[in-house]
Amino acid sequence: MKLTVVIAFLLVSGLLTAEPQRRGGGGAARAGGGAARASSGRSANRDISSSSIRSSQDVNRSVTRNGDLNRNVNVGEVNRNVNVDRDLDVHGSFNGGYDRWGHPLAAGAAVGVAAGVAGAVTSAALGSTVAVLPPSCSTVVVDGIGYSQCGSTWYEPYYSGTTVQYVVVSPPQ
Amino acid sequence: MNRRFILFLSIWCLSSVITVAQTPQARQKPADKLGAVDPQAMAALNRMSDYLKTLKAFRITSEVSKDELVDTNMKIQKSASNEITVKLPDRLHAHMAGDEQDLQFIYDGKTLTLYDAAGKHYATAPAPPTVARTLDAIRARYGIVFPLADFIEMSAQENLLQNITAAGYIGTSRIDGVECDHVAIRQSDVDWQVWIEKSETPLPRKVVITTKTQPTQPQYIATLKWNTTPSIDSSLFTFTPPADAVRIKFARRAN
Repeated sequence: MKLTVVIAFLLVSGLLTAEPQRRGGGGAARAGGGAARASSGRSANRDISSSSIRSSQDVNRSVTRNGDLNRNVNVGEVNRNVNVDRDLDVHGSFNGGYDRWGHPLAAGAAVGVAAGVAGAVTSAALGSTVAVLPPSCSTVVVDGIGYSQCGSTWYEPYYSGTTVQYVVVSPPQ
Repeated sequence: MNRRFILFLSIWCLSSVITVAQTPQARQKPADKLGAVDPQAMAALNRMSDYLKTLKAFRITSEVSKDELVDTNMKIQKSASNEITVKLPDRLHAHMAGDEQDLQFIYDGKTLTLYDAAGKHYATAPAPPTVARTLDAIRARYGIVFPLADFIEMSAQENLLQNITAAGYIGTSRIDGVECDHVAIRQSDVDWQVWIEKSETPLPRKVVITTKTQPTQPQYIATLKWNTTPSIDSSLFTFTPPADAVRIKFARRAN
């Protein structure tokens, strides 16, 4: 019995020595605390593999150089939606969150994305965001944009990266 | 007990010998291969890049696997099938069907639409006049990294090989039965590998991207099938919203 343990130890230590390139920690596969959440869909800060060899800095430089970013700033298409930009505790971390497609999340979405259905409809605070609407909502189109009215609470859906999120807004005019 | 101890000692000695014998090789081989830019590797990459730049239109069908982290340290692998049709310089259509989403990107040279067929949502935004600049712009503006954008951009005259800090030629490999040059590249944030068809049409057949900035080093793996003479219906690049689809907006990334 002891011998088996000793041999196992030797084998393992031999492996580690023979592959110094393999970063430490490989041996200690920690059993994840608790089961992986089956309903995993919507965790905002989940790490995911990058699907591009380009760094974000390169892309930003390229876009700025070409004027593609500045040219469209005043289009208003996106900026009109102040709730998305202002209320979600925006931070600039590019690597902070990725959506399910392996796309970095819009930075604004990394905070405040609830994992499940919105809580009590009456208590939803302006600017809070959910990934799934409460039941019994109806879609109302205002200015060509579809809002969801759930009781007295209005949600505006938007793409965060490629994932739809819902932010609580004032009733649209 | 005594015999066991002797056995223990002999195994210890043996294992030490093996370890000593292996160490120099094991340490130096990868470093030698990937410590610099190997001309053979760069030649294969340039062949691919030059060939991609000759393409006027193409369709890529790809199977993608990518690691995601659940809890704090458990990797799971997600799958998706993508079909991307590009007509350079200014048309693109992509359909991406994954574990939880069914998405289409439609670009007609002026406008980009992202349609979520599962949720019946779509958003449109004005877009730059070329495919390459549009892919850059949606990444910078909305944080959307388009699948296989690297190869699409390479076809559009972009030089994406300038960030390479080391490149190694690993050898010959077979992807889908086709002989390929296997090349490994190191960059600051990612390491990537590409399998390039050994033929008159040196197309990338497979890519693996390893993200080094995250502790679990997740990987993105895609195998690619190319049609470089696709039949393209021009209506593919025009989006007509279904009657029950709801228009929404893109959230802009904070800069």
